[in-house]
Amino acid sequence: MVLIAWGFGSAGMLGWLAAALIPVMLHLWHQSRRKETAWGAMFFLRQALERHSRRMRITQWLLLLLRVSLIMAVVFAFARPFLDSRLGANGTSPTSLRLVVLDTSHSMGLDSSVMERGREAAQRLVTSAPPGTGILFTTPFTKHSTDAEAVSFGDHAAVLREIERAEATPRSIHFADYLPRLGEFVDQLLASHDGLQQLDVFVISDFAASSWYAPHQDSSDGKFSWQDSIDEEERVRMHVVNVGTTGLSNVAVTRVWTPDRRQHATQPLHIFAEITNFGATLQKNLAVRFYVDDQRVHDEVVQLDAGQRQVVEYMSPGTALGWHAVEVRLGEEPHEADDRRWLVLDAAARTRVLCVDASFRLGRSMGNYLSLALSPGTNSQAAESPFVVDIARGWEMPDTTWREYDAVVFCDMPSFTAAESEELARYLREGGSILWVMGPRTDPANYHETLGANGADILPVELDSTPLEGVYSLDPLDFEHPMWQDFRGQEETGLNTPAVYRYWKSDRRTEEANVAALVAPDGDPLLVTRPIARGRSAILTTSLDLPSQTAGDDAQRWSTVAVMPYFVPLMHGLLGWMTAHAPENLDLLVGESWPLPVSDLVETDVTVRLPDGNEVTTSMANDSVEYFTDTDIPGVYQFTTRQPSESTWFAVNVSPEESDPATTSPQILPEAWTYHQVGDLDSWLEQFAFSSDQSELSRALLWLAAGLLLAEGWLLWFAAPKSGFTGRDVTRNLGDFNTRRMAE
Amino acid sequence: MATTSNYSDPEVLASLASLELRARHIVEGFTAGRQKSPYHGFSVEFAEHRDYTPGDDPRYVDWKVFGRTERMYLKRFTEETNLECMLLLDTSGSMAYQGASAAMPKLEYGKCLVAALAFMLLRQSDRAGLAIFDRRIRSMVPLSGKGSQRTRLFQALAAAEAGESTACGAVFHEMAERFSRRGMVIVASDLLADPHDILQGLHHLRFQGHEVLVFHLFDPDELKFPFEGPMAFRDLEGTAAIGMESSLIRSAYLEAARNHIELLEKECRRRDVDYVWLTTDRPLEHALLEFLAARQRAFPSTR
Repeated sequence: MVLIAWGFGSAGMLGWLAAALIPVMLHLWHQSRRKETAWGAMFFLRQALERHSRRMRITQWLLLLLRVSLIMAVVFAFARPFLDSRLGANGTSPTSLRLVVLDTSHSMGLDSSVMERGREAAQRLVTSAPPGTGILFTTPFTKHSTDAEAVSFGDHAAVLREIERAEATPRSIHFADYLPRLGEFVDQLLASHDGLQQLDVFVISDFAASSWYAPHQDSSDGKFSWQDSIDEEERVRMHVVNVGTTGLSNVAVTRVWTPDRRQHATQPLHIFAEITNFGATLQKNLAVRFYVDDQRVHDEVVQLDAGQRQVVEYMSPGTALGWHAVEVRLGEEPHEADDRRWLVLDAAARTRVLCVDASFRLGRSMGNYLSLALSPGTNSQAAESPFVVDIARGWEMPDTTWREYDAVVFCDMPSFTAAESEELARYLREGGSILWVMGPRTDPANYHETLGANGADILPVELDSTPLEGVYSLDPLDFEHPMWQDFRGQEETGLNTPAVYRYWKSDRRTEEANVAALVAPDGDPLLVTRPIARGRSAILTTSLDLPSQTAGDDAQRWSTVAVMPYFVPLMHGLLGWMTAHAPENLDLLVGESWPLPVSDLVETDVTVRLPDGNEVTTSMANDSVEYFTDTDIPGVYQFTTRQPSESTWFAVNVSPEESDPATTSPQILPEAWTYHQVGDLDSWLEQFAFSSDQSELSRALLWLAAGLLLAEGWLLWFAAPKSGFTGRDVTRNLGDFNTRRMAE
Repeated sequence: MATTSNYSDPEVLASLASLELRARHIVEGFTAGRQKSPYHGFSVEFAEHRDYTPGDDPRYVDWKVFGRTERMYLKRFTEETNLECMLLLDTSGSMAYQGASAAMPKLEYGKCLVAALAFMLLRQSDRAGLAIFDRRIRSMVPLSGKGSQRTRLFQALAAAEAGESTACGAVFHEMAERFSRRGMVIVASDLLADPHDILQGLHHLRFQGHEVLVFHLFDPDELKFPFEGPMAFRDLEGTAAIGMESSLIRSAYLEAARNHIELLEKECRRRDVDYVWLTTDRPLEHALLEFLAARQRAFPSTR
C-alpha cells in the first residue's frame, strides 16, 4: 500500500518533458552531422579506440543521461510537484473531489454581473483546491460523466478555461427536478472512484425563486433534498453558493397565443401577447411589435407598473394556407432571449366531413345532428365554421367519392364488405379519419370480421354481440385524451349527466395506441381512438340518434348525447383532433425534446431547419429516433419529411419563469447543506489554504538540476584530458628530446 | 640562424616547384650559412705525404713525422668516395596527409628531405641509392656515384606518389638482405605501423653493419589532434571511416602517439639507431645536421 502519493500543481508544465528529447535529438543530429576529414595517423586512433572505446561509450551515455535528467529535473521543478497522502493509492485518482455545478439557466444571464460572479466563484473553488484534489466541473445542462478522465487532477487549466467559456443559456431549470439527478450522479461518483474520502458538491446559482421553488408540496418542511442515501454519507458535503442579487429588473414577453388552436384560413387571426414587468419600477413606452413570417404587422406601446402584466392583441382578417411564424418582440433589437417569443400555426382550409348515415331520415338523424354540430345552421355561421359537412345515405356509400373528404363518419352502418374494409384501411393509412358511430343496425359480428382484428384491423375495439342497457353518464377520464384540450379546466361540462341508455359493450384492445376518451361509469369504453398510419380511427359505441318520440319503444332509446350542451364542443374536439395532422405540442421550452411526428411513417429522410438557418438532416426508420432534442436556440423550427413531403413547424421559447429575477430564501435548503453568499466565499475558502512542501520539492529538484549540471561538467573534464597528455605535452617532450639530440 | 630558417623552411620550399631546385636550395643554403665546410675534416681520407713548401697551411704539417725525421711533410688527403648511402622513402597512404597548419604533406616533406640528402651525398662523391616503398618496395634506384645518378634519383622521387598501407618492418628486412655492403641507411617515414615490426627491421639493418638514421615524420596536427565535436576520420590508407566525439578521444589518442614515439626512440637508442622525429612545419636544417652527425659517428675522420 502506498502511503504517500504525488501529484503536480502545474501538470501542464509536464508537457515540457518533451524537451528532454532535445539532448537525444542533438546527439543523433550530431551523429548525422559529423565533419568528415581525411586522416593519416589512423594507427594511433585505432589504438586509442581499442583501449578506450568502452569508456567513451559509457561516458557518452552518461552525458546523455545527465543532460536528459537535468532537463527533466527542471521541468518537474516547474511543474510544482507535491507529496500528498490525500491522493489515491495509485497516485492518479483523488481521495478528495470537488464537484462544481454552475447554473447556466436563462435567469443567470439577466444581468451580466451575475454570470460573471458565478464564473469567478467557480474559478476560485478550482484554484483554491488543495493540490491533489480532483475537480469536476459541470452545468445542469451538460451530460455528467463519472469517467476518471472527466476529473481534472493536478493541472486545472483546462477546467478554468471551460469555466471561462461558460455562458448563460436560454434554458430553464427546476432544481427540485435537477437535484435528485445530481444526487444519482454523486452516487455514481462515489461508486466509480474507490477511495474517495471527501466529496464537496458546490452548486453555484442565482438562487432565482422560479428555479428554487419549493420542491415537495407534501414535504413536511418544504425543503430541498436529493437522496436519503447521500444525506447519510458523511463524506459528501453539499454547498450552495448564491451569486444572485436582488433588485434586478426585467421585462419579458411571457406568453404568445391564439385562441383558435386549429386556425383556418377563412378565420380571422387573433394573436395575443402577454408582457410582464418583473421589476420594481415603472416601465414606460415599451414598444411591442408583432411579426408574421418576419413581416412587421402591428406595433403597440405599453406602459407597465412594477410587477404588472399586460396582454396586447393583434387581429388580422385571415391568413394564407400553410404554416406561419408569429413573433412578438420588445423593441426593434431585443437584447435578451425573453424579449421575443414565437408562435407557429398552420392555417388550414375548412375540414370536409362526410356523414354516411344508414339511419337517414330527413331532418332528424345522426347525420343531421352531426352536421348541425360541426357546421351550424345559418350561412354566415357556417362560413365561419372550420367544417363543411356533407351527408350521404348509407346505401350511397359505394358511389360517393368519399376519399376526397378529410373525415368520414359512418353512422349506424350495419355491415361492410371485405373490399370496403380494405378501401377504408387504405384511406386511413393515407391520412384520412373515420369515426364509427354505432347504432341499432350495427352488426358486431360483421364489424369484427371485416374491420376488426380478423379483418382490416382498423377498429379500436372488439364489439360484443349484444348491447348493454342502463342509464349511464360519461366519464372523460380526467380529460387526458388530447381531443379534450378545450374542455380542460372546465368544471361544468355536463358529462356527468346521464345521457346514454344503451351501448355496444366492447373490449378496448390492449394496444397502447387505443386510447379511450370516454367510458361508462363501469369502465366500458364509449369513445376510443386509434391512430392508423397517418390517419385516425375512432369508435363511439352508442348511437347519436335521439329516441323516437313516436315509437314509444324504450328498446330503441340509445342516447341523448346529440342534444346535450357538450355535444357541439365534443364533436368539434373529436373531429378537430382526428383531422388535425399537426402534432399537439408546437410550443416548446428551450431544451425540451420534440416528439417527431414520424413514428408511423415509412422510412424517410427528415430535415429540421433550425432558427439560425442551419439544417439537420437524418434518415430515419420507424423505430429509430423518436425525439428531436437539439432545441437550444429559441425560435421557429421547420420539420419536413421528403417522402411523403410534409412540413411541420414548432416554436421554442424561453421559459417565462426564467425571466423572473426574484430570488428566494436559503431557508428552503436543508440544514445540513452549507449556504454561501458569494461574498462569504473567500473567508470560507481560507480554511483550505494549503501549505505544503510543494515549493521545497521544487527547490530540491532545482538543486538536483544544479548538481547534474556540475556532474556533467565534471564528467566532461574526466572524460577528456584525464591522462594528462595533450598535444602540447607531446611536442614539448619530444622537442626536448630533439634538442638534446641536437646538443649531442 | 635566421638565414638557416629561411632556406630550409617548408613554407619557402613549398613555393619552389622543382625538387632538384629545392634540394639545391636546401644544401647550398645550409652550406653558405656555415663558416666552415661541413665536409671539412671528416669527409676526406688520408692519402700520402709530400714535402712542405712555403705557403702551405701549417695545420696540415705532420708533426709526428717532423719529430722523428726533422723534415717537414705535409699530409695529403683524398676525399672519401666509397660511402654508400641508401635512402628509403615511405610513400604509404598516410604520408599524403597534410594538416591545416602544415605547408606541405608529409610525403612532399620527405621528398625534400631525401632529395637534399641525395644532393649532399652526390656532391661529395658518395654513392647514393633510393628505395620508395609502402607495403613493399615500389621503385628503386641502385647505388651509384655517377653524375647522372642525381637525375635518376630526382626523377624517381618526383614520380613517387602516395600508395597503400605501410609495412616498414618487411621492407627493412628486404633492404637488409638486398643491401649487403656496409653503408648507411636513411629512412624517411611516418612509421605508422607496428613498432615491434619496425624495430625488428631496423635491427636487421643494423645487424648487417649499416649505420641507420630514421627520420620519423609527423604532420603537426597528428601530434596535437586539434579537432572538436563529432568527426568522421577517413583512413588515407583505405576507405574506412571512424566516427567519434573528438574531444573525448583526444587524450587517448595523444597518449597512444606519445607511447609510440617513446618506444621507438628508446628502442632505437638501444639498437644504436639514430632516431629523429620531425614535424613538417620544422626547417629541414635539423635533418641535415642529424645526417652529418650520424655520418661522423659512422665514419669518423682519420686525421
